[in-house]
Amino acid sequence: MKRIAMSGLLAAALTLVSAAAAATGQWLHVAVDEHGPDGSNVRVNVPIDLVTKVLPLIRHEDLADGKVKLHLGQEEMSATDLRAIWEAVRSSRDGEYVTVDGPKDKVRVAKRGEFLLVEAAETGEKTEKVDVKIPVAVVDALFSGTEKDELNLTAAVEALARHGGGDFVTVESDDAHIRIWIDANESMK
Amino acid sequence: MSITDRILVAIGASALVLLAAGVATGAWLAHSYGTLEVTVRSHDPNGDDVSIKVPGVLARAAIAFMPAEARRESMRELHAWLPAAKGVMAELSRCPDSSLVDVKSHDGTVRISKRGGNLLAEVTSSTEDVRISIPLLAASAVLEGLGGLADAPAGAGME
Repeated sequence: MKRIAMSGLLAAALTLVSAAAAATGQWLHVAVDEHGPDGSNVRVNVPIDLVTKVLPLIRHEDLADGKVKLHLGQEEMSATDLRAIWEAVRSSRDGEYVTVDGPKDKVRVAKRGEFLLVEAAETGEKTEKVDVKIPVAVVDALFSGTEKDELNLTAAVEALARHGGGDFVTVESDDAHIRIWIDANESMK
Repeated sequence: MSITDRILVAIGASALVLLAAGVATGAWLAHSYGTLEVTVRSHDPNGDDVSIKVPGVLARAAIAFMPAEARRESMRELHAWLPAAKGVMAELSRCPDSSLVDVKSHDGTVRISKRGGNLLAEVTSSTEDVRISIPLLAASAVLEGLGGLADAPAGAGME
């Protein structure tokens, strides 16, 4: 009888532990602050678990099962090419892989440790600066789809949550400041 | 007390127990499904204020009273989104109380939040304030009901 009770307790404990492990408790935050007297402020807080559970349920045009079909200019570059480029970058040493240095636009794509960094800056009449910092594991997850022309969004969000908190997109322009990040707080601190 | 009287007393007692159980079940359902609330407060002194409160338990039943054409039309539009909508409701039920969307502009504010078992939408503008409270359990029941219509064979339950 004791054995049965112990087995039951163990099973219940394992269920609780696995349920707790399945729930990330992380939140995706988006903050948009428009500049100027008529500017709006937008705050969005979404539980990551909601995103990862609901994404696979959406079926709309190119999005299904949490994966999105890529439609690049097929004659110039296919999703397969993109995947191959990523494989090459991933297996290479840290460094800058793309540098565009124009009179008005500057773009830099680099790999630094466990992050892929994209920095874009526009100068001139309007200025805009975009910083994207994506963990390598997230890009891996993005390309983990079985079909070659698809991106696995659900796996990417799960990888982002596993990676933990931090900013991954910031945009600073004349019009607005945009920040996208993940942390364990349900509201913005 | 004759045997007939005893039988009548037993039937009466059983009826009372059944009635009490029915009332208790109804009260429990009404309580757990919450109340759908819509409140509109006009800032215009001559404007109308509107307040609607519907027990959530009636929401699913209301689907049965939708005109067949309206049901067909809404099913056409909702069919692809039903699983995702049900998933959102299930996950929102599990997540803690929080502000989900907050928009502030010079025209007014929009706030969508989860409070208790309710999804709350609050809109303030220069002309009126609108507050909509949707019990998540009732919303899930409505989506389940619509899902049942979608799964039913063509024409069944539509007329």
